Amino acid sequence: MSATIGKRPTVSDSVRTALGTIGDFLIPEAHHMPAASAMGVGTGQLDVVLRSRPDLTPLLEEALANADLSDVETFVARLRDDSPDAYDAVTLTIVAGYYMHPEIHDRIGYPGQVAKDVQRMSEREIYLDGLMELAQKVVDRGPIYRPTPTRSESE
Amino acid sequence: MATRQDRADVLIIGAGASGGIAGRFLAESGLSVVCLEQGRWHDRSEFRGNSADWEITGRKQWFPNPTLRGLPQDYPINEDESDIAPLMFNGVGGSMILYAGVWPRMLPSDFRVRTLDGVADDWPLTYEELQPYYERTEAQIGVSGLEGDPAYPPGAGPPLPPLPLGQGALKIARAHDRLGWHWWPEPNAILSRPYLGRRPCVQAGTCQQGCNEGAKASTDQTHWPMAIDHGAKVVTGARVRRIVTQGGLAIGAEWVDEQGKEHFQAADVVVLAANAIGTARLLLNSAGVDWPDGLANSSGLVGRRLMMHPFASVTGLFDENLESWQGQFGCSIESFEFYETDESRGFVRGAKWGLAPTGGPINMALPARAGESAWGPNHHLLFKERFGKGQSWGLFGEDLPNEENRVVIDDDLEDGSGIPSPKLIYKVSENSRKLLDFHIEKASESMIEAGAHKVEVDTLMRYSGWHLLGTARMGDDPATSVVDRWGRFHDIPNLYAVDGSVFVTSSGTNPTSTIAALAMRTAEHMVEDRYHQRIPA
Repeated sequence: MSATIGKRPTVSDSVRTALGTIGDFLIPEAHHMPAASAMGVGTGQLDVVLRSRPDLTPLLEEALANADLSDVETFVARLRDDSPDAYDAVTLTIVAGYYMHPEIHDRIGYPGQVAKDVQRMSEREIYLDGLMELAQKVVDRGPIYRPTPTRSESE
Repeated sequence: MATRQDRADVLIIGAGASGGIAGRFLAESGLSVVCLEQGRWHDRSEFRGNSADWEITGRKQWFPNPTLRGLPQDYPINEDESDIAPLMFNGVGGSMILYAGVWPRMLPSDFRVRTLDGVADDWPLTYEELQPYYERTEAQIGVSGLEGDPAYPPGAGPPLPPLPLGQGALKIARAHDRLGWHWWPEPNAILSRPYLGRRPCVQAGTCQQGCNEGAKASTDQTHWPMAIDHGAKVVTGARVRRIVTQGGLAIGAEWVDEQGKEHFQAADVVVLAANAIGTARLLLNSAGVDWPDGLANSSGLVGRRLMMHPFASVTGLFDENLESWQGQFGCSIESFEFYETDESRGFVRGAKWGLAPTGGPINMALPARAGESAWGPNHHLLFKERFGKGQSWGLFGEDLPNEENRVVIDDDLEDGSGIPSPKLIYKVSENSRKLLDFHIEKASESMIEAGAHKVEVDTLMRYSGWHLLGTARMGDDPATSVVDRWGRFHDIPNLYAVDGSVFVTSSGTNPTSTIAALAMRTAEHMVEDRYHQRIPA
């Protein structure tokens, strides 16, 4: 799978810092998985996301440039309740940055959207054990459509 | 000053599913065809399905709601008074570029709702009349599926074998076998084998971001190239301002190019193929001295009876990894078990179920799917529980027509060419709510029987308005319908509609197959009846 490359998006340092802080609140290090900031949701992965979604930049700037993050939980709750579009932009940016990271792909067992050659797949692989026999049993139960009169009631 | 183009035999407005089907048939029949399309051609390399950012561009640049997507070729829609947001794509191929490609026919009872269930209206044609056109369009499109579904009368099945069904579908099929419930491999307009020069599906699961393989059918591949080979002309970046009439006949259309230059395209016959919102918008925007309430609107029904299929999904989570980010998207299997009316349920009509994968990691990690509890230390546990382990029944409930559900012209909103935009006024009915509640309960039973340890429900999803139907309904009586049984406007005999606007009722099925069959039937009738066709002097 290819990624979009290009000039580094222009985002203020305060927004980058805020995304790392909020990211660690939403996706902390736990259960053998790294925290969001460790995966660069406010740094390199932010650039990856914004190259594909430059429309997110103004929303992030408006929501986070002057954010008071002394109480992250309260800030996130307020953002969700008062500015749902900004909340969606922030959470999407963090989640996308995290789950587009190759290390996370490895950890969750996600190889990306893999192209499989249907032509080369065996009948067994396509239809699986017993599936067509199950379909025959549906046929054996008989038709389920309602016969309809040729003439309409309105005619 | 507007420039004038040579007069065409047929002018088609909109290059999507219905425009493509009709355009190819008419061009291959020797008629000169011009199509005006506000969007453009898209090369398959533009689609993001084979890119790492497919999930995030699918939420903006390739999002199916035109207002949110906001591309220059889109027109904004006022959705403030609509319970459901409409979805579409503006380009050659139309909404087929982003649709799932699910291709079931309507059932026989769908054409006789008044006679059988005492509600809404019967269609002026039957399933049997449309059946040959289903079969012919399925052959052109390249539909994959399995012949012999007992939900339908006998007849030719899809031309290609079914797509792979996957372990998740097998679980559900076995569950339905135990329950004695109907299930069947879903017909999809997605190739399971090489067909007519196109490559088969690669199961990448990104159908709704545009198909990089060209395995999913869209008329930019399946119809317009053949029409162009027969002399048809597709003009892109062409926004139609209004249909022009003279002496009771349509004489052509005024349109605006991307530079803002005004044009006039003359034609003997005009065909509307702009979807049920676009066609209604165009008719209402074509109001004039002779038609103060909108063109061809003596019935007062233009724009009314909008139907959009209230939608719910029921997702079962299983213990094992089903790789449910892969597969056609598209559906694997369907069920019509509870499709027909049973009055003891407290509502009429029913819903078709289609089983789909659950998407990539970003989709599964966001709160829209996982709820706000997705955040914090439990995020990873919840994600692990869900990612790759889901199967989702999509439930399309039949949306009964209501004249109060309608498209009107917005007082303020307009597109980039200054053409007034539509406004939707649409409320989900009580029947639809009861219908969905019942089907959610039954679909949950299906998942639990299949072994799901958890069932998640999304009901009345706002961004689900793929199926735009019914704003210029078909019928025999000009007082109660807008077009006749052939899609010809009662009021203007050289004006036709071939898109979903002509639907009398919505059925509970994905409608593109029926739109395609109706478009071919109308086009064939236009050719057969051409010596009786009234045209401008």
